[in-house]
Amino acid sequence: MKVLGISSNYHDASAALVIDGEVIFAAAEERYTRHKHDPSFPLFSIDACLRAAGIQSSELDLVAYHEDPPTKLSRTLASTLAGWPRSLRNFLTNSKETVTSGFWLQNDIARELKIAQEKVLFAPHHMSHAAHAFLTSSFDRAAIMTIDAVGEWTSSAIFKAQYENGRAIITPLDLAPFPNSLGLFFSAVTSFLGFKVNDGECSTMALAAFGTPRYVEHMRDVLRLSADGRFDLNLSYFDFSQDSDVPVSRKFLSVFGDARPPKSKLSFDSLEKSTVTDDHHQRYADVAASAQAILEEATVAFSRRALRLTGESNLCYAGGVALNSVANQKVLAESGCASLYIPPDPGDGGGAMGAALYVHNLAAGFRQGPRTHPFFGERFSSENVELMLEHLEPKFWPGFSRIRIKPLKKEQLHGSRWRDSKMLVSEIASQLQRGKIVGWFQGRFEAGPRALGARSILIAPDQIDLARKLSKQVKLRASFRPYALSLTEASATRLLNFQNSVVPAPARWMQVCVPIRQEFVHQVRAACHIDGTTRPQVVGSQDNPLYHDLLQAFGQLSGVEALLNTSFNESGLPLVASPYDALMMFARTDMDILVIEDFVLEKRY
Amino acid sequence: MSNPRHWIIRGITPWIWKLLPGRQLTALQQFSIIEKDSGIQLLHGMPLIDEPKLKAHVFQHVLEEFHHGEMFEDLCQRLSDKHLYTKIKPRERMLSSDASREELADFFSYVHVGEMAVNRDFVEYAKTSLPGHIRGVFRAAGLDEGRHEKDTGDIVLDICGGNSSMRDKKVCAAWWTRRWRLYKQAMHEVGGLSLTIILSLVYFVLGWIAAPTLRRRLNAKPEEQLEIFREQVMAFEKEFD
Repeated sequence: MKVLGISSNYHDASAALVIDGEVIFAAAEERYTRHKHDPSFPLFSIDACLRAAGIQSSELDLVAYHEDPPTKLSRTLASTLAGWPRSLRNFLTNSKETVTSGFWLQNDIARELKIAQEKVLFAPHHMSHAAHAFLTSSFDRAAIMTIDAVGEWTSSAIFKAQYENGRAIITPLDLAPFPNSLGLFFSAVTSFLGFKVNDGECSTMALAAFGTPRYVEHMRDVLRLSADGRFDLNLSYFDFSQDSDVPVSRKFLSVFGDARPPKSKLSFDSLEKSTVTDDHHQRYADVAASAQAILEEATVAFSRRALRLTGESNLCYAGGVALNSVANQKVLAESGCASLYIPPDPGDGGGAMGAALYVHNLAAGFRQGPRTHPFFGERFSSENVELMLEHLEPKFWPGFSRIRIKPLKKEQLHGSRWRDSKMLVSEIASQLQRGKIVGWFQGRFEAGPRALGARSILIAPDQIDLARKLSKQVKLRASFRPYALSLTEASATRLLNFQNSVVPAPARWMQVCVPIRQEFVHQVRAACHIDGTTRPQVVGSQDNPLYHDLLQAFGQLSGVEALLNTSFNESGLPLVASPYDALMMFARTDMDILVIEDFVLEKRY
Repeated sequence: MSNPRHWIIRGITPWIWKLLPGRQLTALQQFSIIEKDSGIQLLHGMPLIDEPKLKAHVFQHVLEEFHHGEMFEDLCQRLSDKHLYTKIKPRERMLSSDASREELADFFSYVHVGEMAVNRDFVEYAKTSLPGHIRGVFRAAGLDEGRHEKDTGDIVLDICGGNSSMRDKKVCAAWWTRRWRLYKQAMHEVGGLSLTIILSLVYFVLGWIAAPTLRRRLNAKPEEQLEIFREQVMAFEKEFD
């Protein structure tokens, strides 16, 4: 059975193809259109799905969409009309979008794919999330918790799931109805702090580490938690009815102060403890810390509720809020679950895969089993880049950059092919040890927003000045945002302070934040946040063999099998997909080396 | 200035942009998207180009288009103290991954015609009475676009094996395709405007009647909403029985 999953029309549009219970391909549309969080119908990723499987759209048995547009329309109409007569702008924005693209979607999808309309099914949004979390886990039964901003009329839900007769049975047990939403709460605080909604939530989380949660008691009035694990938003602090950039009310501003102007620069630095002289900056950090603290409390309470209601010990977790790695660590440590699983793309981008798996499970059953990697994207060859190498004109490159980068002569651009993978990793490890910034492009790209060694930028983790250069000359990244760390299992258990010294599953895909043992901080300081934690990617030898070899080779030179790993993208752009995207970033920044499969491109100044 | 579009750009746009700064931002954002999308389309076409020199040439072109997109983006950032959320218009598939040489020629002809139009527009914007820093961006981008126009014309000629009459035919066909797309786009805008009027009426009439009920609906208890959700799930799953 061939099922295509589609997610679109809000943010992070994507497509995924499941054939006979196996995920064949999954990719976010942004990888192909180069527009971050692209919400538009995923034309290019659908093409890539079909190309990867070598099939035509006419061969698809079913197409599963990640939400039910008519139900979504009822919610957008109701929520905006409820704000009448002050919500005209918001009503027009939402309803125009739904009326023009959402309502006719079944017909549009069928026409685009040249299939019968009956083949296009609309899965309930939170069922897509739940199926994504459970059907990609290795559990035979589990509690499922989904938390995001909103999907149709629901913001969070609890399910019980188990396999019976070759099919997963996923039963909804509880939910939090819109507008009581942890996702909306955190997004509203994110906008208050001057970051972009649906993009800057990770900045709020990063900023929280610089603050103290001195507003947490006030936050308890904003987000009210019940003893039974439920929560509700005090709507007097918000104004969701108007199409406002910062959807908080005057009451919110009177308690937490004025919102941060979006363009103002924050003076925090994740690489250095310093005293912040600007009171407003400290206030922003304190608000972030308070919001983060209450979010953690709410997710832990909700996860406990999930385990209690289901009577299960394993927990699956999906939805946009599952991208909050600090809160995930709390869930892991304090919920009481025996094991926690979060899929590699838990947000709406993963909705396409979830919808496809859910529909496949209903139509043809599903085999339980571990799906242990996140590399569901497209693979490319490096040959095209090598072929055009001698015709490139690097002397023009500085003119195309926002950054002041070093001019480069044609003869200073050097390409070489390394057929022997051992030689390749040994060469790159020694370059990293020499302080080079390396773009690492290998195999199929990752599903989701985390760079896990397929599209990564790497540097030695002990070199703080190099990390600063990476932020300023390559990533254009705010100094308060920390970098992540890739390390082998052996190094992870030595350097990181895991509970019971066991590496939990979410630590394999950068989904939790873990304290670094004090005595090893200096060895990985560039990937350590101000609070002494890091977001680790623990790489097993089977997870990504070449990347594992690179970590080991680097360990032989430096004494620690760890590398600072950040996503291979420029500020404001999505992770690179093709070698040309990678070459563009190499050309426009101060990246020293670009490794595409076995081809190495180097700037030799 | 025989083209009425250019007359509008020079005579009317500066006033509209001055009176409606939001409109100015939207327009500049659209220029940024158009320039970047143009580069992205070329990126999609690159794997289909066999000739390495041509490939490298197109890559350079992509870098320039991206840079132009960023110039407009930076201008928007300077003109606004808020985050800008870009509205993406629905895209069309310009080129399939197994496109023939013929299709590749059609694709580059379309790009060529687009470059021509953008070049003319940018030249006009640069001559308007808009503030200097805005005109400067149009002037800088326009300088490259003039070269792009020539380059893409050469690429089409190259793909057509040096046959200039074939190239002219392709370019002419692309010109009509572009006109047709612009017409569809304009009709879409007109449709959007009509929809806005209808929805505004719906809002005021329906909102007046339904707002109190809807406010109650938004205060639904979790148990009530759970029942509705279960019914939705059951109805969906029933289709598979």
